[in-house]
Amino acid sequence: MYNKAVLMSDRSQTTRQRAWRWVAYALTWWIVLLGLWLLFVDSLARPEVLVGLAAAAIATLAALGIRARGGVRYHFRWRWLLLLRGVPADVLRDSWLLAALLWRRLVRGERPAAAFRTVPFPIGGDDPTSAARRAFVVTATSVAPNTYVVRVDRAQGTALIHQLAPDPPDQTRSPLVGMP
Amino acid sequence: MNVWLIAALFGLYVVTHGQLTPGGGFQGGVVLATAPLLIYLAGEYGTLRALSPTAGVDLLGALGAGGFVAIGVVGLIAGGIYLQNVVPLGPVGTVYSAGTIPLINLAVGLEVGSGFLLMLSEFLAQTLRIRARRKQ
Repeated sequence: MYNKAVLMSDRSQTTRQRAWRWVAYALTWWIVLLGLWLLFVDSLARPEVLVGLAAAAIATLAALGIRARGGVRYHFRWRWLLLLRGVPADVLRDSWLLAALLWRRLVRGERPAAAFRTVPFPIGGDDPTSAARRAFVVTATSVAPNTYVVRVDRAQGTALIHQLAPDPPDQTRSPLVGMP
Repeated sequence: MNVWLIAALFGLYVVTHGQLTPGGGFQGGVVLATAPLLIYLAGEYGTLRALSPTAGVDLLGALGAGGFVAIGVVGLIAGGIYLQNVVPLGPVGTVYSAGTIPLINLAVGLEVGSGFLLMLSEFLAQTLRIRARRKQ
């Protein structure tokens, strides 16, 4: 009987703590987004603050919805930023490549030989660092206009990419940013 | 990192301030639709699909279209002209200076945002279907 009472008390305390964490999460985002809104509008006039309160509340509700669906936690590593050093050059190269493709399409009527490719992509686990690494690689790879990541296959440990101008077949470098 | 929240808030800003700054319902709606797309970039297609169920997105679109019609009909009844302004005008330069225009922008933003989201989602689904067909 005593043990049952202790168990129930522990459970209600956990529920209370969880509820407080949700409230703290919602309030934090609401305040942060309201601050951001005031930066956007550059005014402290009452109507702007009221509209800002409503807009921040809508965005916070969306955040709560994502969190309720088990939103992912990310843990980024600063050293990954070094992997972005090649991205500006990739953007320039791809822009030139696509401009040439567009020109050939418009002038000569040639259809681009666009292709899907499945490339190895070590997925990692469900831990925050692996989730952040996946997000980083997918985002960074999709910045250059020729290549975008369509999906990541967790079971196979691969990424499906689409390229308007496919890389030559003898290219050994992975099209994914940060992959050898 | 909730970068997508910043995109969503900026979309709402563009929608609600179309009467004061460059932007409006259409532009803000497109920005709003890019917020879930950022979730796709940070996760994968399945996550985007789970977060933007077709029925829910359709409902938002219907609310936008219905809202636009409703605002127009209210103007028609009150002023005799479809979309006639019926809300008092505030001082020039304030967020409520343009009568029903911010409300119309909101309706257009909802409609365009949900339309673009549906389009992006279907575009990715179609890409996967084509891929599956080519593999067969």
